[in-house]
Amino acid sequence: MNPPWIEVENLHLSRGGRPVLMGISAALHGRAVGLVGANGAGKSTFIGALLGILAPDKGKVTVLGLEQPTAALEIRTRAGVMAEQAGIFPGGSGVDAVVFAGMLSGLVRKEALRRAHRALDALDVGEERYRATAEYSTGMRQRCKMAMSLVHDPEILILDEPTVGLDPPGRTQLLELIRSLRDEGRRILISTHILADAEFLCDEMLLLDAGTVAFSGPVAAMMKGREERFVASGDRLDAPLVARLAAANIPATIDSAGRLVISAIDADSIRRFWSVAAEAGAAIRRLDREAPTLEEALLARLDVVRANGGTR
Amino acid sequence: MSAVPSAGHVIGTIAQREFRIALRRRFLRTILILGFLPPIGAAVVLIIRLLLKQMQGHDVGWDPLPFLLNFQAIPVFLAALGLGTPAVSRDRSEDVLYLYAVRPVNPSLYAAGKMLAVFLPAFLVMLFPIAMVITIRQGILGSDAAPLHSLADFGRAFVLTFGLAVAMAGATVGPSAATKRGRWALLLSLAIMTLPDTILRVFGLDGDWAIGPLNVSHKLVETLFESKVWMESLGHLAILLTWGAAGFLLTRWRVAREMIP
Repeated sequence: MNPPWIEVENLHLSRGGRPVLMGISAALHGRAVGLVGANGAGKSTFIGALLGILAPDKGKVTVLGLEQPTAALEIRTRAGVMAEQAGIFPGGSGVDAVVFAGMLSGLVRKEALRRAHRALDALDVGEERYRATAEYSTGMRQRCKMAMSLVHDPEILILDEPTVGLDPPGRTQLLELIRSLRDEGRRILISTHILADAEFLCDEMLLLDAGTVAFSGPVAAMMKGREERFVASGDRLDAPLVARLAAANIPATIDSAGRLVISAIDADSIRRFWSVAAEAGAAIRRLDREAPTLEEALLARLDVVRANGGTR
Repeated sequence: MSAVPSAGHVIGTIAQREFRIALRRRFLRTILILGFLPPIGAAVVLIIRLLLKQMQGHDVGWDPLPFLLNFQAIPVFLAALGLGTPAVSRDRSEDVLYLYAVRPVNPSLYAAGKMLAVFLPAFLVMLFPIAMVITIRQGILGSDAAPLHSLADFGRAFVLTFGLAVAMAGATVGPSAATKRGRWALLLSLAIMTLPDTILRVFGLDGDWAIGPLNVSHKLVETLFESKVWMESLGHLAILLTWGAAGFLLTRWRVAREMIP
């Protein structure tokens, strides 16, 4: 296993007198780590602590072996950050903004200009790069923000909602780019509400819930115990049917959409399912084989954590 | 491994960008160009003085320098308003201060960069014409003007220009940090230039001293070039530098509060 590039020990951080992060501990090794959680879970504050912008009340934060906030400027030089809440440097064209971002990170103008064009080319920004940023569409703004985070060739990338506002082709293109950056060896932390993006990119997850860690570890560990299943929809899919199936040794539940979820996927179980359903008078209109999603795994994990009163 | 950029690089980068953006406005380009007209007028006065001396045989003794020192503060003031008042308010209204925070830029470097974007042009627009006039005066009048006198004038002009440019930077960038609207910043800045001395006058406290940056610079011209009272000059210079420091600290404080996620 790689050494952790983000290590957090018992991190407590308050903002405006209100505790936001409460005793967070995590060691993140993954090439791409998904930072997920509901609004107000503490994701932005966590990123602020990683970059040394927000000083912890208590605890220790280490990024690339450098303790924060002591080495804040060094980390910010080695990191490329795409911030959701902030826009683009105003007052000029897209290429101006990207060049400026590169120069702020230490590049001389000529080199910043060369790399800015390379980054914008990679993001498929054509002649629009010479237009004033005030005229940009949301998608173009996202591309420009991404170029600003990449221009100085950072070792780590911290991306906050990178695909928000992009059309499907743009989203796919950006995700492919991020994946290729990950495969080149860059460490990436992605904060996102779009779990499909996290599923596509990440090999490790950090799930925050109300300022605490609900889960931290490889995606495979999060998905453990969540196997493929069959999902049936139709009429009279009710508790008596679930009881009959249980008696026939077929584990099943009713989900929030009223569908019957059958955990057993072997052919024999499915044959027996049809007979039990017929006996119970259930009308099965559709039976699909479904792979478990990260979203379900996360929600299930949150349910468990909340049921245990916040215990991991 | 990338090295952390030096403070000078970051400050220079911010100042350079601010100046480039400002130069896109016709108003500022015009002011900067017009700033070079007074020294041309001063040179004409010197040439006429020389011609009169040659024709009539005596020196009329016209020295355009004191006039230029007072007059040149006007284009410097206008240029500072154009450069400084939108500098921080634009970043605040566009909500991009966080973009600086995630890069190796702390609030002090940010404030220093914005101040430098005003200080340097103001300093050059003031000092360069004055240096030109002193040089022309020395060249035209030849042996009639003592070189040491010209050097001393240049030294005094340097002190005046430094103080005025620092004060202009503080009195325009500071108000810009106090509001998200450039127009409000402009009004605040104008208030800083005029209100303090108006209040002094209302209470009958005006006299040898002033508080507003522009009036203090006029007082500094008097004490440096005419009465040559050094202690008073130091006092006036201190007031100008205080305006600069106040603008820097206000900007730093305001920006530090908003450079967080």
